[in-house]
Amino acid sequence: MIARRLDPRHWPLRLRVPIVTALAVLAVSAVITEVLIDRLTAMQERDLRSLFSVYLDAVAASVTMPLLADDPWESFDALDRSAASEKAFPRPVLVVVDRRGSVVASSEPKRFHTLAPMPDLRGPDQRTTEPEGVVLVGDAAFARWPLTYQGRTLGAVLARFDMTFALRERRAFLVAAAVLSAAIAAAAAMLGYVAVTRMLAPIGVLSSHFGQGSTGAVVPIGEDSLARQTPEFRALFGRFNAMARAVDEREALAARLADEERLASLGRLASGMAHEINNPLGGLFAALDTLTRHDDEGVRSRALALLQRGLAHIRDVVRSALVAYRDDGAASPMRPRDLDDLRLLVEPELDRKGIVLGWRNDVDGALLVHTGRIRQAVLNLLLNASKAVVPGGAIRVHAFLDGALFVVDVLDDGPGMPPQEVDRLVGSGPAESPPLGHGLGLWIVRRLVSGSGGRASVDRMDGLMTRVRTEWPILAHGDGAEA
Amino acid sequence: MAYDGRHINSVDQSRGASRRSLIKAVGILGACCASGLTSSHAAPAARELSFGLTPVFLSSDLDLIDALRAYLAKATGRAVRLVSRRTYQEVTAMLLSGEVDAAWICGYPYVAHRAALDLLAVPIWRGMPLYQAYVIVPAERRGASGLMDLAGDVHAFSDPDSNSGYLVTAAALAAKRLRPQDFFAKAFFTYSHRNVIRAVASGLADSGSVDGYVWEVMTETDPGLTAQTRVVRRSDRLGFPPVAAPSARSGSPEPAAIRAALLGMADDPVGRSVLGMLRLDGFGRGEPSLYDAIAAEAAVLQGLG
Repeated sequence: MIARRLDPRHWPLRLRVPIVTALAVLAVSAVITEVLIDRLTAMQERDLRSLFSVYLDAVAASVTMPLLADDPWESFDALDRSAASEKAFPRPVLVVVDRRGSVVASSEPKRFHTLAPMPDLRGPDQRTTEPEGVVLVGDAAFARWPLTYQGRTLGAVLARFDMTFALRERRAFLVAAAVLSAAIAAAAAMLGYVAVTRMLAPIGVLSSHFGQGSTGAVVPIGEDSLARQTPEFRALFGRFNAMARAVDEREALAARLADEERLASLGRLASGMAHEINNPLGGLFAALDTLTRHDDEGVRSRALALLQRGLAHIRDVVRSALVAYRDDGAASPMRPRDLDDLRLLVEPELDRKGIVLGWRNDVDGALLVHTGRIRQAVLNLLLNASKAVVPGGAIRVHAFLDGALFVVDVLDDGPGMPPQEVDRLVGSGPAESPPLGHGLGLWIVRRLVSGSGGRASVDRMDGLMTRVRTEWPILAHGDGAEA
Repeated sequence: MAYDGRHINSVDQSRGASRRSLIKAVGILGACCASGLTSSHAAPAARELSFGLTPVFLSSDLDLIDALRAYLAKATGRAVRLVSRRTYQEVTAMLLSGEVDAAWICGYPYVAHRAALDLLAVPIWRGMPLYQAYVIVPAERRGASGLMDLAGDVHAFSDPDSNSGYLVTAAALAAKRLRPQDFFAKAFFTYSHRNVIRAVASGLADSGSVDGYVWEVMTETDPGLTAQTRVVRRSDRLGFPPVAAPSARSGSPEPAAIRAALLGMADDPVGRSVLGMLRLDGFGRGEPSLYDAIAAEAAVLQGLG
């Protein structure tokens, strides 16, 4: 994780752009400085060479006559005066040697004594055959300047010029360039940071709107914010808003579809329910008939009891249908009966196919849950199972509590759920577009489960039964839930 | 109108000097005006005086030259032209030929041409008309305590016609039957006592022959320079470089005027300022015999030659 954080490729843009900008400025500055230093060095050397040459010409002119007279004092005085009058560079070391190579006079008589053999101003380790003219070596310039009179060589002026002042100038230039480059780089980096931060601001807006989208409805970006953007981001925001509207429309469509499917499932059950109502009706009419025709108390009370049971059954069936029909999606207290009466809705259908329904509800008291959604989901799963199971097969429902979850397992001994249906039921992320045609029931189960903060899973039990488990968060328990 | 010309002359001569000299010259101008007025009433306009100077010690001291000219002009009531040349020989030649009315020369040329010269005045230094010749070496030089330790040196002389700057050393060597060109590895002339000191101080020369009076005065005026040198030999006291006039002009008013001016220098404020610059007490009459010792040394040298 740390290695990843250290990897520049994973640094944020608002850091990378200023760094890259600063590095680019520094690189350009380094190249320019290098070129300028080269130019400066070349110019300095050329200028110094010509400056030293002019200077040495003047010195040569002033010492030629004294040398001709073999006069150390006048030679020395000439060197002394020429050195003292020169302001452009530090006092050079000057030595006048005669034709035989012995010193006549020098600017530093204590080092280069009159009559001493010709010295080597360049030091023993750099001894070369001194070419005539000015030679630049490191921080010094050397010259052997011939002294001629009437075409004859009388001797020479040997010179050593200290050039550290030139090197200091170069160094000062380098330091100034480095400081300036650093300042420009810092300014560029700051500019880059500000520019990137400003440029990336719309990304932040977009990102926050996308973030809202993943937790709820996608909110389009406001018109005022849109108007402030650059053309590129205005177009992008426009597309985002179009997408947001499309997502909202699709969401609305999906909700409507789910609603319609709820009613449709009731419709699918309607014949069974009608049958369920109709079946006792014959017995009820028979009981009414008995009541009207018999006076015997025993018979009458039996007929009344039958009438009561039959009407109660009809009431339960109708109530169950109404509950399913009226569901508004809000959390409400669920008593065991609220789940159990689903049997009334599906049993006629299952009976018709000769399917055996096992029903076990381990929950005693009331729970505050999304009752309507649970009922709708379990109903859909039962209908789906009834389609999967062959006539004479078995479906089992088992409801129980698991910690803070209310769990409903729907098992069937059908051939198993095809993978695309499993995916439709338990796929990750928000429910995508409703499937075309088949499988709408499972897709709605997934919407209901994820909309309530629960989850759904599919298992194959012992290779015999397919178990679809839905887990629902319990918002409150017991009597509080009743209120 | 004659004194007008003198005024212009005075101003002209001060042109090119430092600002200080100019101010001084303007001050002197007032003095000239006063003396010019009195003299123009007393006598007809006199000829300009010419006075020769050897570079006795301060070849570049324009203040001194200005002050000396101002004093001589004031004291003599005449315009004064100071003439200086690089070598003693040139000044001596101008004196002998009568090109200058008088000149401050060295004892050596004086004894060499004693027959043709009149002694006008002798400077008094430290109460006496005497001075010494010094042999100096760089201050840091060890193992040199006399002239004979300087064999094989590069030696700086002042002038071949200078007593202290050549004759004394050459005569001392001659007494041992040595010649400078043999005794020293190399000898050269700087044509100024000040430059002898510079040559020795800088190390250009290993030793030098110099006027002791100049060396002593320079320890006051330029102590940094003389401190780099050390005296290893002091000669006997000898006659101070004199002021002489060509004897062919004996009796003419110019030498007399100059002599009177020199002898009266210590009694005049301008003259005293000149003497102050020169570190002299004044000028005395002096006797030709004062220079007999120098004449003897010259004889020794000639004997060797």
